[in-house]
Amino acid sequence: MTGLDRLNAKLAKLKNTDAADQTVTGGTDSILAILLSEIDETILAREMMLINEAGDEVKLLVAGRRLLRVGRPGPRNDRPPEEPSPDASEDEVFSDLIAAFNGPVRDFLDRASEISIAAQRPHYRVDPTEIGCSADILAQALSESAQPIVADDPIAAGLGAAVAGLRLSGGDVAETVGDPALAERLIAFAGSGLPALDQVMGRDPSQPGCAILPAPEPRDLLLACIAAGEDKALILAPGDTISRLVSLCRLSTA
Amino acid sequence: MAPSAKIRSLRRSTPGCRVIAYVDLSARLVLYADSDESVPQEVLDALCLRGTRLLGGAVADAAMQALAAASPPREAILFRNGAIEAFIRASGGSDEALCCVLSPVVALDPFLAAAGAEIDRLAAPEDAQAAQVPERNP
Repeated sequence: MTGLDRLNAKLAKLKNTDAADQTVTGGTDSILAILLSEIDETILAREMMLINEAGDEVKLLVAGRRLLRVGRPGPRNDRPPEEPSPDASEDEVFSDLIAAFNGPVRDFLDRASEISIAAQRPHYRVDPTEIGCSADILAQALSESAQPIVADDPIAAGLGAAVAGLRLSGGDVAETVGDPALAERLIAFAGSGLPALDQVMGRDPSQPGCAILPAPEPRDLLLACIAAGEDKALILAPGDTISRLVSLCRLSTA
Repeated sequence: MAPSAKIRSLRRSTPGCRVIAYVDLSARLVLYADSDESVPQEVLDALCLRGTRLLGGAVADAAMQALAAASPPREAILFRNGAIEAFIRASGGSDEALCCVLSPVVALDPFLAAAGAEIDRLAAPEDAQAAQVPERNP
């Protein structure tokens, strides 16, 4: 089975084919994740066509493990004057691609009751210097739009999501936030479990690192350690914040 | 379906899932591993050791206290070296677990749910697995 066959089989499973004319949002995130993975695995240029049950399609141009364009294939200079020029900055291109991916592409997937995907080599030359968005950048943007959480200071962001947290600096507790009783549990963890957790995280201090341990069912609480530089945040957070913390960890460790 | 085929199927159904190792935490032993590319045994052993420490060692014991839980965490997620590592232990006190290396773009929630269900099936006693197979009509 080719990679494309596998993807189509996956898409067919993810979309509810009995839900015609219904906005299906439950599967969209999973399909977007699959698309991101496809982008990440595509080296040679190809046009990917997302096709709904009515035959409407959205085209993506992908090359070099980057999304180059959404909905406007063709030679690079063959474009309407209102679109970014080939000399647009990286930030402008990223902004346009992210807006298109998170807007029209997501809307198209939400509205479709059946989605298939086809791919072909473009019949035109793709400029190898054309700026594109990696799957990591797109994933970060999708995470940010779904769960606004800042990663400029992952320690502060982690503490902000916590019901109780410790900021540890060089092994000492520099700050305590939230419920004092829960913070006491974290202080106990810092003494008994953190050295072993540090070993597991085994990181270079110049690289951020994250570990998340959800409580067993009903997963009402989770323990997380977010490390950046010499500082760490050790937090207890509600179980339903796991998506936010995963987004934060993706952003801070990307 | 053989355990190896089940693990392969799980990995291939998750784009971006690079490695799944089926391990015994108490023995610190990799029972089987599936990946597209060859992964050195030392790398698999280190992955298994991280799973053991997170789900069965001092980290798990201390986490259980911090979470005020009746049992150690069943799942752990680690972000390291530009990848996500997910560790999922079988429920019911079994020592079997899946240790997985994922691309950062993988949707974690559906993967954890699928991996949790799969490790429970793998860890189920053989007689329980046989009971799940529908009997053939005489």
